[in-house]
Amino acid sequence: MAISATIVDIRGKAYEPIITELLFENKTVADNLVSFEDDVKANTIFTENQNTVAMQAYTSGAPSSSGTLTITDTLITPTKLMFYQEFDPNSLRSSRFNRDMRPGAWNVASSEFERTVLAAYAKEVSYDAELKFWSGLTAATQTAIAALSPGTAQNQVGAAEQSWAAAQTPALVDGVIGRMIYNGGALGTRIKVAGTTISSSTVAAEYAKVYAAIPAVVLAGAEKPFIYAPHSHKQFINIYNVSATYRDLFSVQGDRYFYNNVEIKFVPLSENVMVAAKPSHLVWCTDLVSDLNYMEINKIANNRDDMFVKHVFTQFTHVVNQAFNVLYVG
Amino acid sequence: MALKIKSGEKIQAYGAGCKEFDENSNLSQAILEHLKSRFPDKIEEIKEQKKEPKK
Repeated sequence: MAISATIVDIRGKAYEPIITELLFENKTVADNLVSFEDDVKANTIFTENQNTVAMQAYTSGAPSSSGTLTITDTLITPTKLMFYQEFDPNSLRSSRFNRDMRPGAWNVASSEFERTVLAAYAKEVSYDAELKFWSGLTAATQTAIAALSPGTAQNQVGAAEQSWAAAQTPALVDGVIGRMIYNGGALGTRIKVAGTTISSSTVAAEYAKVYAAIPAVVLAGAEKPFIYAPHSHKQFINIYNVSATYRDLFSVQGDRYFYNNVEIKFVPLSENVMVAAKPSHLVWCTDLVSDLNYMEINKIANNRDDMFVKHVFTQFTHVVNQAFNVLYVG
Repeated sequence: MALKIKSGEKIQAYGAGCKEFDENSNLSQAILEHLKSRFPDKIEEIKEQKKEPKK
């Protein structure tokens, strides 16, 4: 397959550098915004334990057992995924990339092409994997969410959640939002917060709803929770702060944003969706985290000169301690 | 009363990465009720057809 390109035959200089698309860096991986479990090949068991105790009056006779010891196992096999594209370096012979091709009809490899175009392609791969980790939704889960009876109670799916699910283009993996709404063949046990449109004028009120819903035990623990929010909220907060009398509701320290001392992390969530959880409750399961950075570039076959670029990795999103995590959907 | 998205209107409820809803989107009444709370100008009630009086 030829490279899809509008190429001008080079006669003089080329503008440096090559102008590439603007992309958010995959901060979820780079900054460890969630928990990573690697070496997860297939049928890996994640175990959660919930216990209840019941105080009872002493008896010297036979006591009655009361309380519960609950162990829940979830079997996880990450989905094996790939990105694959073919390209023909011969298409670049008359372009700017011929400047670093070595002499000889056999030599059409350009290190500038690999360094810039393919490097940008690799960033797109990483971003897409991050996007699917947060916002992916499989067709099966989309159908299951649509089939639930909506209501306002915590043990019912929200109309807003169903609305979000209906707006998704089905993906190969379920992400955090999808897994919080539906997992294990049933509605998730997330703390549901019904929301609305978030803008610079509503951002304070909507963050207040999320903060109020975070269980006190989560705020008090040694591991602090984050509020995960879409990238657009950084601007909404900055605009809000311009007219705020006291900037202690949303405090900004360098590039770190906080709401009432809970740090906000900006990730590829859908607009009008927020998650509040401890990082250890959101798990990125994979065989090897660095698989996402490994890109194979090679000839398609020994007797051909056209080439391929390929990524192979596995991915699964697991949400633990669901009853302590807040999902806000507007 | 049943609701629908107004003809010609598009609703982008969750950002550019998500699908737009329009009058042809297959949405439940519960979803339309929710969308009406966020986009009241883009949702309308389905008007019942006037019944012709018997002659």
